[in-house]
Amino acid sequence: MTCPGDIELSRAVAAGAGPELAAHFAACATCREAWDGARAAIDLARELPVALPSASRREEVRTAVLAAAAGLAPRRVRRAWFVPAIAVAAAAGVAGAFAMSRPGAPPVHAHGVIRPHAGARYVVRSVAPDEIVQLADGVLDVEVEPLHAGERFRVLAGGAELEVRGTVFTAAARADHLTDVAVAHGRVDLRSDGGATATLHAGQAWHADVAALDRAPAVPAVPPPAPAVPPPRPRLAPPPGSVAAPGPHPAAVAAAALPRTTEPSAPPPRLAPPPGSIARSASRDAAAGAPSRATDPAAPPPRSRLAPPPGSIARSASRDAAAAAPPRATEPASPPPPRPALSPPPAASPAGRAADEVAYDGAWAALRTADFARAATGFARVVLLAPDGPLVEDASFWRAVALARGQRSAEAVSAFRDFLDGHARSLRAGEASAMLGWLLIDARTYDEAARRFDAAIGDADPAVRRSAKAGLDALATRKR
Amino acid sequence: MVKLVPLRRISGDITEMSDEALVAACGTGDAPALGALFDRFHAAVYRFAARLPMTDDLARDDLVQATFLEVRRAASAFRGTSSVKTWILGIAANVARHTLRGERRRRVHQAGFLERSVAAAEPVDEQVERRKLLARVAEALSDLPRDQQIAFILCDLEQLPGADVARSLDIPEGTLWRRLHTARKAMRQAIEKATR
Repeated sequence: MTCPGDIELSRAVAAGAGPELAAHFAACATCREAWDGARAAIDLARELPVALPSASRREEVRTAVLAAAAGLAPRRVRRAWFVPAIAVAAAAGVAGAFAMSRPGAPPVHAHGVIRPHAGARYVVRSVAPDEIVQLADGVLDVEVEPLHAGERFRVLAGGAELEVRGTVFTAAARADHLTDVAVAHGRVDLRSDGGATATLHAGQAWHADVAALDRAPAVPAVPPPAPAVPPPRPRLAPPPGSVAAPGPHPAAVAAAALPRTTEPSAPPPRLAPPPGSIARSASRDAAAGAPSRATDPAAPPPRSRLAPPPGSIARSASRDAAAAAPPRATEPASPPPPRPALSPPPAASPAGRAADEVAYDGAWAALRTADFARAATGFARVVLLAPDGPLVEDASFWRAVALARGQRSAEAVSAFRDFLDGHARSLRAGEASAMLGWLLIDARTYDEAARRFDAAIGDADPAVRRSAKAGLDALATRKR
Repeated sequence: MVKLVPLRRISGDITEMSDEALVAACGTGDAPALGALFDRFHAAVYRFAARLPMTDDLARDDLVQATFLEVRRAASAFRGTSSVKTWILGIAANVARHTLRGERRRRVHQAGFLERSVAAAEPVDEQVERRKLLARVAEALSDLPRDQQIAFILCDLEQLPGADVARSLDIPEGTLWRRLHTARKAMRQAIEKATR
């Protein structure tokens, strides 16, 4: 047999050598050496360490995927069965997300009831079909009805996780550590901080080593405000030899040239909290290190919503005035024409605020503190909660911005395209087109980039027009 | 190949559903199906992402997220010509090719740094020698062109069938084998250089 060719040898290394080839290797030192060398390289490469994400990080990504995918789902499919169920469940779930030991009726979740004891701090991190409740401190009584296929209900506390199918149990945590679990009915699967697993049945309980927790450093009750500037992070796609010849990178040009509507330093839009939410808003603002909205009325609101939600009459005048001036920092004194109300607002949550509003505020707070991943997920949740709600347009836009600011370029491109497809007549269409154009230059999709810049060149905002012109100039330079 | 019948939504125990049925359900917008696919295959995608050189944790998260969003988008077009795992990893490879451009310069820079670090290390025992060798292997892998890296990772490290990988990457099978041959040869030479 003659020596095998490269392709034949390559295939044999993967699939194994047949008898004929094996016989040849025994006789041909050159081929044998190539074979052994390839095998050795593969074996060594398999020894390279592979870092997998932590369970909590994995869950965050999973939740983000599901939230984002819900926004991507074809409308007719979502309408058929998914969104109504999710919206109803989420309205209750998100309302409970910010509830901290409120007396009265317990927050109702899609698959059960959570009864927080006094002082309990918890957050609903995702809603059905994969409900996750993050318990930071205190005690929760949880009743979960039997779940259907594909549905999950979990309580996370630090690195520990409780998963249930249909049960009644009590969970306690301290400083983000699970301390106690007691099962009254059903079954609870427990995975502790250390990774140990156990299944608790009715009447059984589990208790952490509290003495070890006491030795651990204390965790502040209120998390410190996030830094205004995120830690540096490598860009995903700075194409070598890309269009921007001299001067800054196109993305930097875009960042500089675009109106700073993406600037998260502006305070969130709410000017006066609805009744019953003062304490909660105050604590949230303190946690986020936000300036008081009442003391900073000149700051531009990020939202252009005109249709007031139920219970917002008292603030509607100031909000409408603010809404008439969307946050185009380059022209703060020139209000664009008011937008018509898009659709009736969704039903209010038990707390008196629409769930999408709560989610919107949370997402915007995250954007303001440069937590772009959480902001993007939050804005996706707004769309999920009220697909026909008045905040969808803004939420879709800000989600794309958050993705872009978070350097998730591929997803940002997709999000901007979705926004422009769904809201072609939006006042933000030009701005979105210009941002998308720069992202497309990064991705070397020059033809579409040119189309997007063309679409933005006639925008009413001069900063958008300048950005679009700079983009077209960059493309022209590249062609020359 | 029998075309999969799309399901309206999941019925029965999701854990008993085949991978192909989950993809079909996912194609109709079924969120639990996407969640189940994530549960089954996220580790493989993370492993693939982690083996791509010079990607940090955030970039890996982005790649995994973008991959499963693309799975959601492309699910209705899945025809079962390869295993679901191969199909998803093929998507991950394509996402990686598009999103990880521009890493080359950083890799070159970091490789130079690694070179200095390795050169400065004193081989005092076998463990150090082994680490040094693995560092050289990692460096060799990072020096490969992206297409060869992907072929090497999918076929030789993830041990997926070459024919399926070629289909997923939309390249002729011969092209895949040639890329693998070139990649292995480069890896082998790097190892020989390190052990000389």
